[in-house]
Formats: sequence, structure tokens, C-alpha cells
Amino acid sequence: MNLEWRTKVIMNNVNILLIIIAVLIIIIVCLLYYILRIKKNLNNIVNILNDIKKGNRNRKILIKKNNVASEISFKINEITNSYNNEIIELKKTDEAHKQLLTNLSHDVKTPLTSLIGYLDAVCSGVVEGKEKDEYINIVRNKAYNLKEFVDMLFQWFKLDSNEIVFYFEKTDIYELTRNIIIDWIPIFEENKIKLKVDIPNSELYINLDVKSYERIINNLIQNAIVHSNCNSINIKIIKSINNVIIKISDNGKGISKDNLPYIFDRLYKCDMARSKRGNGLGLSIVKELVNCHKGNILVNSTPNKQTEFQISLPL
Amino acid sequence: MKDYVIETKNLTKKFDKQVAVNNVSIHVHKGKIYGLLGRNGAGKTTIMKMILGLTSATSGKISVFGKNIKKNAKHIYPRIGAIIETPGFYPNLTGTENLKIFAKLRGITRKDAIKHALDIVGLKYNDKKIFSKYSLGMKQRLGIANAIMHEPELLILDEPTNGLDPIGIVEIRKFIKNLCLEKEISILISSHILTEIEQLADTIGILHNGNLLEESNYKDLKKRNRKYIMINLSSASKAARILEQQFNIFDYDIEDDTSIRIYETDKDIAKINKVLTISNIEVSNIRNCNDSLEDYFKKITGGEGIA
Repeated sequence: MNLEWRTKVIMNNVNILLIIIAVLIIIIVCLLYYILRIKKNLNNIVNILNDIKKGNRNRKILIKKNNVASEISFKINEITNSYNNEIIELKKTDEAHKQLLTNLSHDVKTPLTSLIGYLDAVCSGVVEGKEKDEYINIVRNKAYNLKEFVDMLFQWFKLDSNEIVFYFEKTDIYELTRNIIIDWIPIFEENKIKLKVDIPNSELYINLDVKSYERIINNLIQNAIVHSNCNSINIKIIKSINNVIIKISDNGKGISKDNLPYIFDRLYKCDMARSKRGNGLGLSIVKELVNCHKGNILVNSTPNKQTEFQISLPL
Repeated sequence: MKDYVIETKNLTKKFDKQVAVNNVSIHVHKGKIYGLLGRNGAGKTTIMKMILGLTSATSGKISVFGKNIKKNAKHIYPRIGAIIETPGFYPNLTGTENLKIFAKLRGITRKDAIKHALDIVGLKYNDKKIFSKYSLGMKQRLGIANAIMHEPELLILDEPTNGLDPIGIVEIRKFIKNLCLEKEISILISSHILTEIEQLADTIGILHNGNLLEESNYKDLKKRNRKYIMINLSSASKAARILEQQFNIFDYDIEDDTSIRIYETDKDIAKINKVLTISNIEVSNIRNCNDSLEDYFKKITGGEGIA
């Protein structure tokens, strides 16, 4: 009896022990599997990181959502991504600058070389008398154009490197605009351009950097005169609830649809009418200056009907 | 060059006796858009399928990311995103649910991967609409969302704007261009529309009847597309004065001291040549360059045109 009971107890204990051992083995196997999986995951991550280290900035860690390593992987991806974006941004500016330099050397070289051609002709006595004077005049014009280009360039570089200091002060924009236009009147007459001005007869003080504002308006008017072949120009200022809108429009030959999206890009020159080709800096400076006033510039153009630049500045 | 994302060597695919792709060697640069241009049946899709391992190549070699695709398939495919023909989705599930399945299969690169991908293509997250009710444009967008969800380094897109309306085409085009510019993702795209490839690709491969007729940098091609008169001569400065004075030509560029590019192509070349020569300028070469891209494609495809 006693013995039987004892063996039963022992058997029971052995059973329990066996179960415990079995459970332990299962746990160990699971743990091993888990550890191996983590190791495999980590190995994978290390491989990818090595690839990134080698310079493959676009590589990302792909991982299942509920993995132990997913949280850390997502973080790594996020960091690589933000650095990659920064590098791409830097590369782009660098590329743009290189492009700028190549274009510039061309833009300087062409007028300078032709200018030398005229001077050579004058100096070697190929032309004389009236023709000689004419040549000298041409050279003078070319030189002035070059200077203007270099001035613009200088402006642009200063703007680009944030070196320009703005002096914002409360200015009557109506009065200022009128004064700018007055200086243009002789030139309008000379070019037989009708001028229509629609500026309220009151005062409107807004924060402006006077020099920049003058440059913006002057550039837009000059563009209309030089490039558009128009015979009338309208300048209008409208005050709305929280901004003031300056509209400068002409009835010249306008800007084609293909060119329109790019005209504010630096060094973009419309393909047509190269004879009076600009230097591709003016409008990009204008845009930059408007931006500095926290404003906005838009353009609409229906060729040979109306081309309108619209600047809105906050009140 | 090491920087090829895709490189094929003498890739050939035969269906029975018909040769679909013949000895094609393409080179896709890292971070650039490669456009495969060809008419329907030129072999564009077959090439893409072979690259993705969806069909086997009869002969030839394919390497992706500089590795042989056969030996490294497991590591390479997760780094590619692709749309080949119409993407396969479950018609009775919503877009989000469909993407969830793919996310589970492939893994993800960020927590909000699905929402992020849908945002990019302009589809709503958790929209109740099921896939079969989607418009063609939405289906195509979902396809793109799926292709970019795991942030691949390489995208393979087979006619991605097929069947989209004009506005959709412009949007997708812009989007693809941006992926390349803003993220430096390499893209292989196919199309039968010349203008589409023209606007997107950095490198163009022209396929015709399974043959790669030409593979060229788009900038080189574009140069041919501009109309101008090129003159090589002894003194550019002297010539510039004569051109301005005698021919009223102001629209020109001086490339260097011995070459001028004139953009007013209506001028009489013979006369220019004569006047320059009389003025003691040696003209070594004067030619009219006015091949348009379309003319060019016509020429290399043997007069048939491309689109």
C-alpha cells in the first residue's frame, strides 16, 4: 500500500518534472529561434548600413511592422532620408552655380568678342570718317550693355548670398510709384508708348525698402519697353483687404506659353527675339526682391494682346 | 562605369522563332531617368519583364545595382519598385487594404508607410471605395503608390501614363521627374510617345523591332534639335562685326575664338561664306544644323517614325 502510494507520488513528480523540462526546452527553442531571428535582422540591417556607408544614400531598411528592430530601423531610415535630402539640396545649388558660371562666361564672351571686332576695325584703319564714329558708338553701346550686365550680376550675387541689407520703412506706395513713373515719361514719349496710370489719389503707407521697390518697378517697365514692342503700358495699383496689388501690363508681343513658367528662373531667356535678348537676370532679381518683401509676383500673357505682371505686397 | 543601376549585356529574348528582343545592351545611370522609346511591340515591356525576372532571358546578362540579378534576387528585388502593365490588386478590397497586404509581404521603411505613399500620389487614406470601383487614373495612382511604398532605389515603370487624361499625365510626369530630382531615385520608364520621353528622360534608348537603335544622352540629342548655323573660322571677333554690319545678325553666340553659332537660320549660308572669305576670314566649316528630334528619329528608324 505504502509502496504503491510512494511510487505513484514519484511517478507524479517525474511527470511534473518531465513537463517542466519539456516546457523549458520549448522556451529555450523559442528563445533561440527569437535570438537567431534578431541576429538575422541585425545582420541584414548592418549589411544595409554598410551599403549606405559606401555612399548609397537612397538605401532604406525594409522591415516588418511588428519586428523588435522595426522601431530602430524606422529611425535610421528617417535620419538617412533627411541627410540625403540635405545633400541633394546642396548638390543642386552647387550644380546651379556651376551652370551659372558656364553661362556667364558665354554671356560675357559673346558681346566682348564682337566689341573687340569693332575696335580692331577702328584701330587698323578699316573704317574711317563717319563710319568710324558709328563703330565707336556701337562699341560704346556694347560696353554699356556689358556694364549693365555685370552690375545686374553683382546685384544677383549679393542677393543670392544674402548680403543685401534692406531698410524697410513706412512709405507711401502711391506717391513712390508715381515718382518712379515720372522718370520714365520721356522714354515713353521717345518710344511712342501710350501710358495709362491708375493710382488712387490718396496715401497708402506700407513697409518698403525703397531702393528694391524702385528696382522692381523699373525692371518691369524696362522689360515692357525693350522686349515687348508694345505701344501702350498700363500701371495700376489696387488696395484690397490685406494686400496691395500693383499691375503692370503692356499690349506687346507677350510671352509664349512654353516660356511662361520659366521666366522668373535665373538665366532663363526666351528663345525668341534674341536680337534684344536680355541677360536672364532681371526677372529673377525682381522675384527675389518681391520675396524679400514677403510679397508675390505673377504673370499672365496673351501674346499680342496683354501681358500683365502682378505684384502683391502685404499691407 | 560603376554607376550603372541597370546594365544589360546582349540581352535576347526569343519566343519560338520570333525574336522579341535582340542583343540589347542598355545602361541606366544612377539617379537618372532612362527612357525606353519605341512603338508598340518594339520589346520595351519584354526587356522590363526580364530585368524583373518575370520572364527568362534566352541569352544575355542582366545586372542590377552592379550585381548579377539571378544570384542576388532575394536582395535585389526589394530595392526595386515596378509597374508592369496593369498592376494586380484585389478588386474587392479598398486601396488602403490592398497596400496593407503588400506592406505585410515586403516590409516597410517607416511607420506610416501606407498613408505616406497614398499622400504622395494624392489618394485618400482609409477611403471606403473598393478597387474595382476605381477610375483608371486612380488605379494607376494606386499602382504607383504601391511601387514607391517601400522607398525603392530604382523604379521600373512601363507606360505609366497609359490611359490617363491629359491633366493626369502632366501630374504623373511631374511626379516622376520630382522623384528623380528631389530623391535621386533611378528610373527606367518606357513609352511610345516621343514628347513624353523627351520631357522626362536624361538618357533615351530607342527600340525598334527588338533592336536598340541608339542610346544617347538627351542633351546631345537636344543639341541636334536646335536650329542654328555653325561656322568655324579664323577670327570670331572680326566675323561678329561683319555679321552685325552686313547681315544684321545679332542673334548669335561665340563659342570660342574660332566658332560662332547663329540662331537666325533664314540667312543665306553661301552669301555669309562669301562675304567672310572676301574679308580675309578663313572659313573652315559652315553648316546648317536643323534636324528636329522627330526628323532624327525618323531617320534612325528608317523613315517610319516613332510615335
